Amino acid sequence: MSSDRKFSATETDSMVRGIGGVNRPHANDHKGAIDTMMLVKTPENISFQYEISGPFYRFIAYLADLVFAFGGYFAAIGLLYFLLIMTALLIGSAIGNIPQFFELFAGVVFGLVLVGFFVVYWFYGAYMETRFNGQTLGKRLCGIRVISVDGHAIDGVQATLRNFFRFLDIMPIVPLQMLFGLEAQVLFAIPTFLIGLVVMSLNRKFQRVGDLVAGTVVIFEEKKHRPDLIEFEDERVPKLAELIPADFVASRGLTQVVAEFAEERKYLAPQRSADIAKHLAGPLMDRFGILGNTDPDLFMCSLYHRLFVNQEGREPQLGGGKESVELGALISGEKRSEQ
Amino acid sequence: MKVAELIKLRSPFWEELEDLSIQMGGRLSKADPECVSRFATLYRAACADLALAESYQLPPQTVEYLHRLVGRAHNQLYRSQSYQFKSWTKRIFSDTPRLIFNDPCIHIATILFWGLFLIAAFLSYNTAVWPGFSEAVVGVDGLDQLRGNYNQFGGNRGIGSGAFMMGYYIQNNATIGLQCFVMMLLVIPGVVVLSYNAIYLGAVFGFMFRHDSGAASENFQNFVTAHGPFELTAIILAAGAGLKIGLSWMMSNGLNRKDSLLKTARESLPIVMCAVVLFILAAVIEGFISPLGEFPWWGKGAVAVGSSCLLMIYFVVLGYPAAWPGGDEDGF
Repeated sequence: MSSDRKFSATETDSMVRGIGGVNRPHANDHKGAIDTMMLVKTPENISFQYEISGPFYRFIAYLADLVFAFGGYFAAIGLLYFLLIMTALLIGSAIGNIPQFFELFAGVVFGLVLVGFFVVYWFYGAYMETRFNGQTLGKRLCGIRVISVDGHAIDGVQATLRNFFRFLDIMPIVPLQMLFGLEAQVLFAIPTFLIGLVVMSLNRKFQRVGDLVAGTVVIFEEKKHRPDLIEFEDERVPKLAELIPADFVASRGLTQVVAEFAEERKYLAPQRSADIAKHLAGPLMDRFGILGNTDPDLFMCSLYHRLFVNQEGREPQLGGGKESVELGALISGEKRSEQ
Repeated sequence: MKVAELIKLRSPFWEELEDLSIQMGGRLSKADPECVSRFATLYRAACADLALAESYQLPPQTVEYLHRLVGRAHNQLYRSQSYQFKSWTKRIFSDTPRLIFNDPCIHIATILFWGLFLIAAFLSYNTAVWPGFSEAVVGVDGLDQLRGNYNQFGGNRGIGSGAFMMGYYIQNNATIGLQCFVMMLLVIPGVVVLSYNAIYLGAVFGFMFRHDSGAASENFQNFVTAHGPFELTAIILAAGAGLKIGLSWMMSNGLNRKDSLLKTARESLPIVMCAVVLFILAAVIEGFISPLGEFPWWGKGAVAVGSSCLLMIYFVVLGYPAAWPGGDEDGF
C-alpha cells in the first residue's frame, strides 16, 4: 500500500504524460525536432538555444534592406547629379564652355552610378554582415542575425557567399511583359523568390541556397523581457500550499507543466482554466488528501507557489536530487499516517 | 535555496550582462578592458546558471530568457572577424594562383569555353560547312545591327564617355560573370549559360572576321583586341569556380555532401573574386583604350600581349605547384 504513496519523480512524470498532450521532453533534449530551435554548444561546454527565423521575417528584413541600400544609392546619385550641375555651371561658365565640361563630367558621374549599382547589388549585404557581426540594417530592424551553423559568428567569406547566391534564391524571375503583355522594351522583371522559399521549407533550419552554400543560419535575437515569478494575490494560495506534503518532489515534467499553466492562466476564463487544471489537479489532490471540491485552478496556483516560491531547491551537486527523493519517500509514510 | 530567492539573487547579474551586451554593440576591441573582463565573468556566470537551471528547477520562462541572454552574449564574445588584410597578400599571390593552376574544374571550363568558341567561330567564318550558322545563332537582325555598329567606328570618345562605358561594362559584364558563377551551383543552368556565351561570341567573331563584312570587320578587330584576354579569362574563371561548387555536392570525395559543399564554396570564393577583378580591368581597357579610333592597331595588340603575359605570370609562374600540396590549406 505504501508503495503508491511515494511521489517519485518518475511517477509524477508519467502522470503528466498520462493526462495527454504534455509529453514535452526537457528543453535540451529534442526540442529542435518540433520547434524551430537550434542548439549550440559553446567552447565553455554550455548548450543554449537560438530560435531560427522563418522566411517572412527575413523577407521583411530584405525589403527593408532594399529600401535602405537603394534609397541611399539613389540619394547619393541625386546628390552627385546636383553637384554635377552646380560645378558644371560654375566651372563651365568660368571657362566659358558649359556643354563640353558638362559632357566630360556627366560621363564620369554616370559611370560611377553604374559601378555603384553593381557594388550595392552584389556587395551591400556582404559588407554589412561582416562589419556588423551578421546584421544588415534591415536585419537589425527585425531583430534577426546571421550566424554560422556551428553557432559562431560568420566571417567575410561566408557573408560574401551567401549574398552572391541570393541571385539563385530569387529565381525564377518573371518579366513584367509576360504578365501584362506590355511592350517588349519594358525590361522590368519581378523576382519570385520561389527557389529560396522551396529550399527553405525543405530543411529544418530554414536555410536558403545561399545559407546552405555558406553554412549559415538566420536566428532571432530580439531582447526578451526577463519574466518574474508569478505572485498570486489570493490569500488562499499560500495556505493551500502548506497542505501539500513537505516531502513532495515534483518531476521535471510536472514542474514544467505547472509553470506553463501558471503563465497561461491569465489568458483563460476562470471556468476554462479550471477545466484544464482539473485533469492534473484531480489525481494530485486525491493523493495529497485534499478535499475534492477545492478549486483545481487554485490548487495549481498553490502548487506553483510551493514549487517555485516556497520550496528549497534541490542541491545542484551530483546525486543530491536522488537523495531527496529517497528521503522524501521515507518521511512521506510517517506524515501520511498522522493525517 | 528557494527558487524565488535564487532568481532574485541572480537577476542583477543577468541584467548587467544584458546592458553590457547592448553597450558592446560596437566593437569589442574598442571597449574598456575592465568592461570586457567584467563581461566575460558575467557571461561565464550566466552560462553556469543556464547549465544548472535544471538542478535549480528554474521555471521554463526563466530558462528561455537565459537561453536568449547567453545567445546574445555569445554573439558579442565571438564576433565576426573583419577582413584580415595581413593574410591577403599570401592569399592573393600564392594560394589563389596555385588553386587556379591546379583546379580540374577551371580546366574543364577553359576547354568547354574555348572549344565551343572556336568551333562556333569556325562554323560562322566558313560558310561552306554549315551555311547560315551565324544567322541561326545571332539572328539576321542582330548581325545587321552588329555590322552597323562597327561600320562607323572610332570617333573621339572623350574621357567622359570612356568613364561611362567603363561603368557600363563593369556593371554588365561582371554581373553576367557572377550570375554564371551562381547558376553553376546546379551545373546544368550554368553550363548552358557558359556554352551560350561561348557559341554566341564565337559566332560573332567568326562573322566579323569574314571578308564580306567590309570595314566593320577591321573596326571590330580593332575594338576587341585590347580587352579580350582579360574579359574571356574572367568568364572562364567565374564559370570554373561555379562548376567547382556545383560538382562538389555531386562528387563529394568521401566527405558528407554538405561539408563538401561548404569546403569547396570557401575555396572557390577567391577564384570568383579574381574573376571580378579581371572584369574590372577588362572594363577599364574596354572603356578607355579599345574605342580609340586613331590608336594604332599594334598598340592595342601590345596591350593584349601585355595583359596575356600578366595572366601567364599570375597563373603559371605564381601558380606553379612548387610546394603543392604542401599543407598550405590553412589559408582557406
